[in-house]
Amino acid sequence: QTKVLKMQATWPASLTLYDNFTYFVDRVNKLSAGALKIEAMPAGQVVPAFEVLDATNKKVLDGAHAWAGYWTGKNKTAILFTGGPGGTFGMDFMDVMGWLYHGGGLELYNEFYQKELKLNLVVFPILPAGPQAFGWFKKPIQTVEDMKGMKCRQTGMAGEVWQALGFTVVNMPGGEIIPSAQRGVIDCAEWVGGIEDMQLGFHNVWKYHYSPGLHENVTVGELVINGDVWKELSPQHQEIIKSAANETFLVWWTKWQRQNADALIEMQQKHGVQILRTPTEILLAFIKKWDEIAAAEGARNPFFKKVHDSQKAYASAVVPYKRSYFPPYSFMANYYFPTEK
Amino acid sequence: MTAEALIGLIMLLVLLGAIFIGVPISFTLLFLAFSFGYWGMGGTVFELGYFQTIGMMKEELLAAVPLFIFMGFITEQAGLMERLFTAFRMLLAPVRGALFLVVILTSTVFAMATGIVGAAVTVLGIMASPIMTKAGYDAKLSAGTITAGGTLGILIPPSVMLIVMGPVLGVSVADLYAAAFGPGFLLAGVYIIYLMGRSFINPKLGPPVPKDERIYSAGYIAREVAVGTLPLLGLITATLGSIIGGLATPTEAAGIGSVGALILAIAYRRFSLSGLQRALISTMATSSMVLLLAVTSNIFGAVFARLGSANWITETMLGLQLPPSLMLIVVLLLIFLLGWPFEWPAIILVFLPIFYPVVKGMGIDLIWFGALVAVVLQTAFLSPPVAMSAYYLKQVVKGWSLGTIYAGMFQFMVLQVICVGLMIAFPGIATWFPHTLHEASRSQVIPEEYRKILEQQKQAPSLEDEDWLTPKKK
Amino acid sequence: MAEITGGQPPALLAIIRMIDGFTDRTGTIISWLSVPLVLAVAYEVGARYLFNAPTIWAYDATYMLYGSLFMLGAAYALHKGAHIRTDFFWEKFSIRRKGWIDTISYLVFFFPSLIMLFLISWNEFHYAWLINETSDQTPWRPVLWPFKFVVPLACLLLLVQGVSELIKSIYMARTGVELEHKEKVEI
Ligand code: NA
Ligand code: NA
Repeated sequence: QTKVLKMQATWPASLTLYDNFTYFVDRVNKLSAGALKIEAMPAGQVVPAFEVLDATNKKVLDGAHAWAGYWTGKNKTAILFTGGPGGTFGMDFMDVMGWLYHGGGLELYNEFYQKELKLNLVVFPILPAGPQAFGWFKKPIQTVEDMKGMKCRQTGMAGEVWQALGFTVVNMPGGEIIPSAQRGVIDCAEWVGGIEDMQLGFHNVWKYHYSPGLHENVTVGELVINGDVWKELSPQHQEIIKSAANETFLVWWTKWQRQNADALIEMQQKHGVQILRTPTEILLAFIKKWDEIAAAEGARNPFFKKVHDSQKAYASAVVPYKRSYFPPYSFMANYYFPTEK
Repeated sequence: MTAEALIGLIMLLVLLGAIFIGVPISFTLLFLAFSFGYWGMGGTVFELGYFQTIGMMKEELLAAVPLFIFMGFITEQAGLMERLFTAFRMLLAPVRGALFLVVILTSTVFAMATGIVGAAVTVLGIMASPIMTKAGYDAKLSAGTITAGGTLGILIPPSVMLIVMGPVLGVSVADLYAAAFGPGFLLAGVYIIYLMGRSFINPKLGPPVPKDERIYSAGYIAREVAVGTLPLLGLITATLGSIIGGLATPTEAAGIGSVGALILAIAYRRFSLSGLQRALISTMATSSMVLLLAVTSNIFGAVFARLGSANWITETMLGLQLPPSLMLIVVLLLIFLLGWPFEWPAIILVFLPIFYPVVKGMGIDLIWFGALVAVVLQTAFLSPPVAMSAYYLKQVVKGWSLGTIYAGMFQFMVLQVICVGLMIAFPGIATWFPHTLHEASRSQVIPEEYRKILEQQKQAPSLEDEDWLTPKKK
Repeated sequence: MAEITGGQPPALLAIIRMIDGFTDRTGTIISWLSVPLVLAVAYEVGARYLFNAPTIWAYDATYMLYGSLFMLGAAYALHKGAHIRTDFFWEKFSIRRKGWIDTISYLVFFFPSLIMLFLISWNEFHYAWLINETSDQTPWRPVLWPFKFVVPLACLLLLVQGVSELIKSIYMARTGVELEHKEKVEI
């Protein structure tokens, strides 16, 4: 007797983010010897992309492959479970996963959906979609001032930070970004970075690609499953899903870094794209503004503060310690592959 | 095929039967989706219906639909079409088949100001048909000219149909607009060649305007032509120009166009509060009709997909192993056949999503495909006996029988099919313009002033470098 | 426009008149949503190019006004017969048969579906209200419950007008007389 779970993603099948989903589906199928089958569907097939969380709660879908940052309209705490801007307190991917598994983060994540939002869901981290680039620009940028008066396609909490810094944030569906860019409706845009940006065709419109960004330097996507569906699964199937999600996270994360490295090479060599470092001033301005916004949100949203504090406690133990044990990435990178100066 | 997928296919068959009977399509779609969905997936189907509804309500892009409709109604009220018609008529009076030419030119220009079909057919029917009858024009050919010219409004941008199609195909509306100009003008050209050719061979079909009705003062003609065409051309330039040329999204352009139309209506002293109220009510009714059908067909499609039937159809069609060009013709033929009984919103929203994965799976250029579908659906407006433009015309011209109108439309349907053939043989007709726009932005050079900034930036230390050289306390 | 012909029970006629009048009035009011829609969109473009200061609110305002317009306008469209039907055979049917088909479609298709959609959308509106859900489309973040309330409200308006349409259909089915003739609306 095959158990079939129907799940939908918040992305179209054309994105490599969707490959993370199908990799997971394939692993579950093989690990269960075909007894547990997950049917993966792209955005919009059953419900519109941004309705997947509510749809999973109502069991229209058995599960969803999504990103918590899309739910900040319900409660801004959601952004923290993606890792949050700046990785939150300087945490990298490994630290954020550490916080989730060893710092009480995953319990808070589930508590957030189940108690705060009163949704019948369980959640697991599955998709490390980062680090993401700062974005694409129609001309070089040097200071925060340069960006004022520019219209940028940016969404969610990152958009909120930019708006607070005086930039103009506009939203539009993925398919409209490139035509809008060609037509001058926008002067800059952030999408995903690397191969995803190339697939959309940014390199054909703009030549100035800045990285890194601090808005999604760590960004973790989620696998949510309806609570009743989860309880009805056998303990073995539950373990298969958990293991497959973790394996997907690791395997896909490494693949993502490789594919983006290849994409950056192609952008530079084939398309004449300028790969530029985001000016420090801009990164600092971003992170300062984010801290202000986070502090303000913490003051009026107790659950936000609870999660933020939990992250701070974990980060304050791990981040400074890692600095003494981890050789700086740039030290060895510069030693073996010095940038031309 | 799974049992669930079979339920979905039964649902589709019942739909075809039910809407042939003539029940309102929106509510039938909703009911069938709910009942068959309940059978196949349980009570959660109602939730699914809600999520599709609210999701569609959040589609900012579709706000262009009521805006372009409103713009069309106001433009119509402002009497811009009458002016255009009169101006062209004065100008072209001595030509054989002048009125055919006038009708096609008027409707081609007006098509660039309105996104729907009804307005143009109705206004041209009221204005042109009495003059054509009086001048001894062939009734069949006249009726065909008015209906065919009027349907250009749904093809040549702005087009409500293309706005609805964009998200379905995952293609930008601006690209679809750019792609629709070529086929739109091609059709207008083919109509004109056909009409002029026939009038030339047999002048009885369309004699020149009688001498005593002509105006001979060149200055007067020039003035009328200027007053009649320039403001409308200005409005069109502002609207379409801002989409194609680089300033606004389709929604924004529709908003600008609406304000522009209002200003013109005021300038021509044709604006009144009661007229505005009429336009508002008509805008609401027409957009509700199209968009509610969009909502319910999305629900239907989602249930169809959730049951696994959509995947089954796709896999079966792909399994036929047809070469892409043959598959394309099969799909277009199916859409054409469906266009007989169904209206365009139903085809784009209910059936196109079923064929879409097949087309995409074969690597067919979706912008080109979108333009082809648009022309095929525009043909459906001219396909008797279920042809909306015939009804619009019949409503305002009581003197022409439906048989006469059908006979005229049929000739133009043949021209449409020729144009579809040309578009398949020469994809550039549709794709040249969007591809040129893309190419223009691709081939840009880095200016000298930017080069200096880039050099500086490559020298500048990054935060990471500082951290590594001199760790600082925060 | 509806031409109510003579010779039907006055009580039914009164109900039809009351409901149609209600839908006419509410429809007229709702149709004015297009005005702020036009203004918001046009202002956004103007603000962007003339003052170089785009608004923070236009995007949300645009889809909220558009979504409300077509959903709340659906009842008026129903009243005016604007919802598309295929007239392959329809035009050839007798009035009595049309009446029967419509009566069955209202009773079987229309009412049950819309009642379900009403109940579900009411719950969703209530949930949005409880968690004080805001839009996450733009940094403006307006509250969402008024927008989510549009769905149950639209269902309610449709259900009310549906009662009038049902009575008209039953009358057509039983007497073979068309109480009102609906013209085609342009698309
Ligand atoms: Na048009
Ligand atoms: Na037809």
